[in-house]
Amino acid sequence: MIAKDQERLISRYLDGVETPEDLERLDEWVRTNPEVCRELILMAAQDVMIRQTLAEKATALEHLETGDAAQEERSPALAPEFVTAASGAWRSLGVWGAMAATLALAFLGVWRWAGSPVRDAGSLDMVVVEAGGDVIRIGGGAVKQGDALRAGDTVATGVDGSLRYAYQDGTFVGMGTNSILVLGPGSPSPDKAVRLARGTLTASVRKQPANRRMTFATPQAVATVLGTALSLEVTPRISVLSVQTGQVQIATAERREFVSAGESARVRNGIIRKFEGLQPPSNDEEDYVDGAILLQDSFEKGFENWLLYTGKGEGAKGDRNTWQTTEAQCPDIRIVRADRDGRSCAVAELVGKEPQGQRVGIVTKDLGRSVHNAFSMSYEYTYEGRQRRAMEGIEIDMGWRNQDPPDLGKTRTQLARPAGEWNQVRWEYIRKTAPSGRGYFDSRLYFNGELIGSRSDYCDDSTPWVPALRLEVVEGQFRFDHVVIRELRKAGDPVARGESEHP
Amino acid sequence: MSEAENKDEFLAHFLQAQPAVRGYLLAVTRDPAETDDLFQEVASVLWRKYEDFDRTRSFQAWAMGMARMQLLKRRQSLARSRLVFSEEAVAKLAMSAAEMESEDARLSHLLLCLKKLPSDHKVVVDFRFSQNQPLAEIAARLGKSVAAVEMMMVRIRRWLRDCVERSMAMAMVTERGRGT
Repeated sequence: MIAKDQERLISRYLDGVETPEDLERLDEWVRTNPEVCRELILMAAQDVMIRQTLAEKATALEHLETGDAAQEERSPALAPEFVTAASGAWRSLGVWGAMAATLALAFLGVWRWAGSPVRDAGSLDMVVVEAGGDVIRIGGGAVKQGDALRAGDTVATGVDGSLRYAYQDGTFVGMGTNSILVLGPGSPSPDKAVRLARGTLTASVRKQPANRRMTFATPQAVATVLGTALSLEVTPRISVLSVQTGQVQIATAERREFVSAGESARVRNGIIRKFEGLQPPSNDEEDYVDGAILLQDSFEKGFENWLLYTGKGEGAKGDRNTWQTTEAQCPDIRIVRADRDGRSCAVAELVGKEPQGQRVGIVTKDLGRSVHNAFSMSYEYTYEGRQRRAMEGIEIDMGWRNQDPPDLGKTRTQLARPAGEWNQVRWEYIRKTAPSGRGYFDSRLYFNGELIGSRSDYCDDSTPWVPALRLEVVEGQFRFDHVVIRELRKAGDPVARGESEHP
Repeated sequence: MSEAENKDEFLAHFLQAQPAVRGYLLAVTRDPAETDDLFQEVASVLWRKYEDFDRTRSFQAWAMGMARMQLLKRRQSLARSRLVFSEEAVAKLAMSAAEMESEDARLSHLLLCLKKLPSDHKVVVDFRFSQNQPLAEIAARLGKSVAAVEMMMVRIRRWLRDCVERSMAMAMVTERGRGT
């Protein structure tokens, strides 16, 4: 993560309003700071993309305004007006000019085609009767009232988006905000089937023929209806079904239950729990669910983009300011890989014998801004070389020296896999608010899937919280294989709450 | 390899590297039209020399080397104000751009993020990126100070970047959900 003055200077530079002193400073930063270098390239590439996106958007709007539906289906390479709008600077260069134009068109076209199912004008299955806020068809642009939806479409609503569509028999389905719905199979199959990948759904289902039931699938279960009114809410781990009228059968791979009018059911880990009333009671412990993966890297492409963070900071709160690139402080450590673009997790490899107590970082930076409730991180590591013997000789720190609570009965040593095999470490942070209003984090430490530690940490809720994970290496070698940082959120919270952080 | 296969292979490489090359050229020249011209030249050179390309190497790194050479070739003819970085800085930027991951995926999320901008920011984006207006002109048209518009640009760029990253992360979750 670059400093704010660096970010501001890059923006000024790209806008051409910098001073000669600014330029001198930026030149030096570019020469000496790879993060600034990367940020400048990223911002410039983003500027290019914004221009391209706006140009293509203008073209798409032109197409819509002319009502030339066939135009949309035409290969972009055959649409000369597309050339002008998308890349006005392409000039005629004889044979190469044609080649270059084709390249540009292919580039602009490829990502548009990527998620777009082939449209069959004859397979009109559903019609949008209401659309508000941001609603898009994945790979197909905005969805408006009157648009046709077809089997195979994936529709997503944004933070303020909602959608209601109708089948030909008068069945209505409504999507709430932050929802993703996959339509299918539809025509030519007579069945109505939708899959709610995330978010909320309401439905009013006209009575269906016995052999043509309507199904609502979630990642956890399938609800089958013959005719009823229901609502579904889906998070990555939990599905909640509420039945207003009629009866719905809800089934997992192993179990099935009938949920009647005025009842609800919650499905988690294959277990169906029924409740009286249309909303199942909240369970604080269970309600924290996996959200988006914020960062995932298997490092297959090498580690060139990763920078080093080492430091001697004490305490989780102070780490955000004290972590620095201090390879010079660790002369016996050859750092091979570390933190990428300063925004996420880092990885490092140590070779040689490290001074006792020297810390090498896995640092997560600036996640506080983009994380809504909490996040979790997991990574795997193993020993190599002569110290290839499970967990001995390594301590895992996260702002404090981790203690394995004796009452949990198991320790990392007991849980360690055989020498040479991967061990998995996973931290979870859950952001909470104390009755006093003060923010704090509950954290849990899992080792090879077992909870072995937990802790609460208070922090200043008014500033972005920058968690720092550290490994303290006493001796030996270790190597990270992959890193995953995943958002946790409370079920029912808007997934994209961070959207409100707009400047 | 047949000529058609050769072309297909080149196209695949080129499309992947294109955002990074264009980003690099814009980062150095800051002029969209100049960037487009240079990009054409780079593309032309890449295609002409493609048979010399060592396929065990990274195409993007190779393309960036060519882009850097084209930049240096035109250094004399470029207006001084458009090429302000030292040769060392230009080289560092090329190295950084060569390592940049493909940004193709970002494009599909960018439009959605642009739509989410509040209207006053959309106006600024339109002036700046569609009409290529300088900040002073935008400030005059909006009745704001240049410093205020400059700050808006900083925030817009930052927010768009964060929004795209969030959106991409969400899309990953969706993809994962499809597999279940």
